[in-house]
Amino acid sequence: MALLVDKLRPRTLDALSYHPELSDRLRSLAHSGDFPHLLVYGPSGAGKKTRVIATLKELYGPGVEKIKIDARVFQTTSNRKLEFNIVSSVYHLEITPADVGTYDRVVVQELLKEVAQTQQVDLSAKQRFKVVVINEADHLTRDAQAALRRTMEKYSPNLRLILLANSTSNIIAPIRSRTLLVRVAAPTESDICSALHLAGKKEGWTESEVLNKRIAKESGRNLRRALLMFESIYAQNEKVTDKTPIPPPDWEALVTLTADEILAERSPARLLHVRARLYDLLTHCIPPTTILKTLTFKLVARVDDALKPDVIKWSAFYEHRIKLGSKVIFHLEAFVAKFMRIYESYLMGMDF
Amino acid sequence: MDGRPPKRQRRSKDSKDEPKIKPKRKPVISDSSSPIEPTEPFALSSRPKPSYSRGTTPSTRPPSYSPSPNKKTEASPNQGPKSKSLHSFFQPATEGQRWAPQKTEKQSLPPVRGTVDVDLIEDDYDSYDEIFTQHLANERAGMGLTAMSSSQIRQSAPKPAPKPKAKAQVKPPRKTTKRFLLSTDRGDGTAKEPLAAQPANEPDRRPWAQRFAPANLGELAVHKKKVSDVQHWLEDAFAGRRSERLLVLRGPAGSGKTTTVSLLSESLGYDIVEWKNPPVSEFGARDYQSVSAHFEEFLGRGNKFGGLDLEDASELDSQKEEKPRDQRILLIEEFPTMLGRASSALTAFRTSLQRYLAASANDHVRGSSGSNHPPIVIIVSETLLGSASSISDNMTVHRLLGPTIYNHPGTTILDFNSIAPTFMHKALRSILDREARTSRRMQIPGPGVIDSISEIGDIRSAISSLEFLCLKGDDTGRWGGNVAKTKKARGEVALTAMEKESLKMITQREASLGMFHAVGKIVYNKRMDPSLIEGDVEILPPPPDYLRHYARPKASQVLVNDLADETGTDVSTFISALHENYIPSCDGDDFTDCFNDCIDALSDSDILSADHRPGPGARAGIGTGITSFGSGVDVLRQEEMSFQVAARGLLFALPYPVKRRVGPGAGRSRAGDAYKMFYPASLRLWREAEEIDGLIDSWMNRSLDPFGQQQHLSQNGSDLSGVSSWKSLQVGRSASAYSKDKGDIPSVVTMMPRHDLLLHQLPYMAAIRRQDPDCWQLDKITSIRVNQNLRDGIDDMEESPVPGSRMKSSSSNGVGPRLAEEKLILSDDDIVD
Repeated sequence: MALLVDKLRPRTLDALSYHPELSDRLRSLAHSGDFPHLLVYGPSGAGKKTRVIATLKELYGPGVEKIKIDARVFQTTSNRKLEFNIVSSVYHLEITPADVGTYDRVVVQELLKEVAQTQQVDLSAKQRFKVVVINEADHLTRDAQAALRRTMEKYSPNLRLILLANSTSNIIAPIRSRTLLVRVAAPTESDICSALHLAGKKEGWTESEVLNKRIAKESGRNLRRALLMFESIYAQNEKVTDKTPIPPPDWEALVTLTADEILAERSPARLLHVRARLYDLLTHCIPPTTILKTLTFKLVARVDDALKPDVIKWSAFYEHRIKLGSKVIFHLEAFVAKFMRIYESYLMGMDF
Repeated sequence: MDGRPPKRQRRSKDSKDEPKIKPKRKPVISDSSSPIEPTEPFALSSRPKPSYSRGTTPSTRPPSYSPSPNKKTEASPNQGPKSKSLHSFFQPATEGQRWAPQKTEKQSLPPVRGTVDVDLIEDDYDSYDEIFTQHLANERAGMGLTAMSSSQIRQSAPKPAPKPKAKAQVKPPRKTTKRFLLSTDRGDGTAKEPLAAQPANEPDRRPWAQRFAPANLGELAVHKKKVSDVQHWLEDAFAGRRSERLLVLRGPAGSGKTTTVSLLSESLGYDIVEWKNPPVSEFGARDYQSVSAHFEEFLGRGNKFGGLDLEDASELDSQKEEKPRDQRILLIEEFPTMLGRASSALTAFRTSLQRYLAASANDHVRGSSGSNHPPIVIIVSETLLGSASSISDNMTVHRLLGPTIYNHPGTTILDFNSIAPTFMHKALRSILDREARTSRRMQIPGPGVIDSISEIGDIRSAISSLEFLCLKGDDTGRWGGNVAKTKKARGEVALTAMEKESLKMITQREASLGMFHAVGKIVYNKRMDPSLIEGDVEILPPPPDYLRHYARPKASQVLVNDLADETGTDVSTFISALHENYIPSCDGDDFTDCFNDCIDALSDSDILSADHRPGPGARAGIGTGITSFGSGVDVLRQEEMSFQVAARGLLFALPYPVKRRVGPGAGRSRAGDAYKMFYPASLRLWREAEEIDGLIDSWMNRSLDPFGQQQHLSQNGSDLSGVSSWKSLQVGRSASAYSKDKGDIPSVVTMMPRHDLLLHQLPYMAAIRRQDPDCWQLDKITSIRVNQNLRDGIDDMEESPVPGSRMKSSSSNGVGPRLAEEKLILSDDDIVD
């Protein structure tokens, strides 16, 4: 009962359905004999990971798919024990150092050193080096990135890194310059439609063209999300028509509702109410920056053009504060209050 | 003899000065059916006795409490032993001495031999007393000598008691004349809890909390529903009807968790095998065993040789004919360790439990009734009300057990609420009645006092408080209640002056009251009226034109610097409380400006505060400002700066005069809400956030685990409950070194960013896997109820009678800013009444 997303994930570069040029280049790169460090970036759901794994398969053959999962325990200097998951095959290793938060430097250093110091054991391996795939590279702390940089230089004979990131903006320049940047763009809506169509055919579902288009639009060009939506719609409805509603995730629905409420009324009581909403979202571990971002876009869509720059400005301001400060709710609420104030003075025709 | 008469005279003079003693004597005399009037001169010589017994008791009160100075002088000769009596009275109760029989048996066993001779002396002394009393009763006229000798003995009696145990024996107030009555009471007291050091015909001197512990389920002050929940769980578990093997009872201290379990053991007929932390053994010792190893062994032995543990208990307990019971439960109240959240001992503890659960689940599948695996009951007193800095020290079930066991299908968690005031009131009242029956107390604290004590919510502490209040004795006649009086309607009875005074002394909430007081000062924003300003206050010039909008003509009356000392809590909590409560003050014409400025100030203060960056654990957390205390003075300075910014900023921005109002838009406002101060909700929500965080972690692991996926596949067909699924998952994880043929792999295994998983994958997965047995977990993570408007209506109905229930429902719907109401300790237990 694996999810459609996992079941239909292409395993080879040939099976990838969009960005054929990129696939070709990756294939030739894999066959070229040498392999640079890669920094693969692009929005989530664009197929970065899929491409990377397909490339690895191209490099090493099917052995890459023999996977084991380890839970390693690292000890920090302050004697804290960190449990950390590693997905690995004989040829490669996949880690998400951002999972351990500020201790990612320890993990990156220890682990990469360990990997790099051992040679490839499999003599029949096609390549002499191992590959380490680092997820969420843009969430690494500066320390960890610096550590990474040194490792890249020191152990390059035995080790290649593939960094995955949503954007390159958080990655320090030395790393960017040492890696080959590969951009994986989000699929177009028609790409998504055809992927959905394929999936529907495989599952034997009666599908509707219009609904597929709607899903592609709703998903924000995120193929993973589109497939999940697609599957959930078919799981929930016996019969699917063009007009079948696409329910958003609860958190998103709640943010939308909150935005509506803010626009509908501005009063201390409403602010209290919104605060309760925010608490709801926070207790469900929705990252505060995501809340702020979603809320901002929902609000911006509904206000006059003259207000938009200001709303965005304050949103950015408080997002920064969320990162700096510790009491998240203060800053979220401050944004809401600020918006109410701007909006109110705009309605009253005042300067703001 | 030479020394004696003056003393006697003094005493008799004292007692003349204090006519209130006489009412007290009356019952004594009538009891012994003596016709002699207490006004008779010789009878005065017997005064030492009652005044002694009273003398011991008042000493536990601070001197200011005592209404007449005479008592103090009387009490002074006995000061030495008495001052210890204070401890003997209150320590046991406050330390949370349990009522479970096994414990006390074990603990009181060793000192028996040591105290025997002391007890003998006491006995002697008591028999003297008795003789003396009878003397007093029957032939009052010629007993001056006897009285003297008895008083002599009395004063020497405490002397041969150098051992603390023995002293404790002497201490509690003894009403000698009531011995015969007491003996019946003791009968059942010893049956329940034999104190080995106490001769059978001694008055019961245990603290009230133990003395009047509920003897059957009917007396239990816990909500009936809760008790029956526990009962059903245990019955089903014994009968093998349910696969769960771990019951977690959690709730605040003194909510009757342990008592429920031990009383149920009577009615259901099971034995309790309790885990006790072994004494610390030398690390280097030859047979050194870690605590974790001990615990592991306990779990293993508990299901095989559990009877052995009970054997010696039954030997001790001669009154109870020990019938071997086939059912037993393992009770865990002490935990191997709570040091650090990732300590190895804690991990070992969890692993042992997991192993036990897995083994018992296996049993269950094979159809055996589960008798080799007795159910485990874990009792956790959760501490939730912590200030921000102590959040990481707080103990919750989730922290203790970790997400895996916490969400394990074999685990049931029952929440105990604080005892509802109505139940508490009833219980306290019945205790008073019973106590009065034995002590012949005529005056008891009035219903008003009981009501306010009932608010405490912790029944053990409430009883101790009550006992403390009653120690005063009833001679002053200023209590509002009376044993004979039927219960008055609650709430109508005004407190008498003394009651108020006494309550002030035992009230337990100074700290938080201090905080709310300080918050109130700020959010009400009192300013000086310029017309009333005294001459010596400097009036500042108005600001220049370009700063005109910063002009505040009236200076604030709040002294912020002084306030810093009054907050009664740490800065971070205080600022959160300000945040929680400032909004209703903002009501006014330009409210948008007002609350915008206020929250700006708070936002600034947060940036200035010392605790940056929530730790790695709180990555997605609610941001409660968990301080990782740095070192150095700068932290203190920063704290102060952030306090000043928040307090002054609010004072500056709030309108004057403040009219607190929660508008109708809030949906569920109630009259008076605007004037209440609430405890910061943000400091309460961390527990929930943490639980969900743990769940997300476990789903992340699951998404990684192909075995996990496989067993999902197989499981949908079979009718096994979730236990088996969990087990195979465990196997999959421990057997990490496996490899599979390419053909078998259902999907490529990769890691997924947590962000994506939470925001996109899990919500849809919840929709897709409706039939999955673990779907509730997904629901818990993802579903945030949206139909708020609908809810508001319902909530209003629900809440008006039962404000406390909001805490329960708050998990899924709006965690309102009114969470603070939990403070009032109204709970849904109130529904019954």
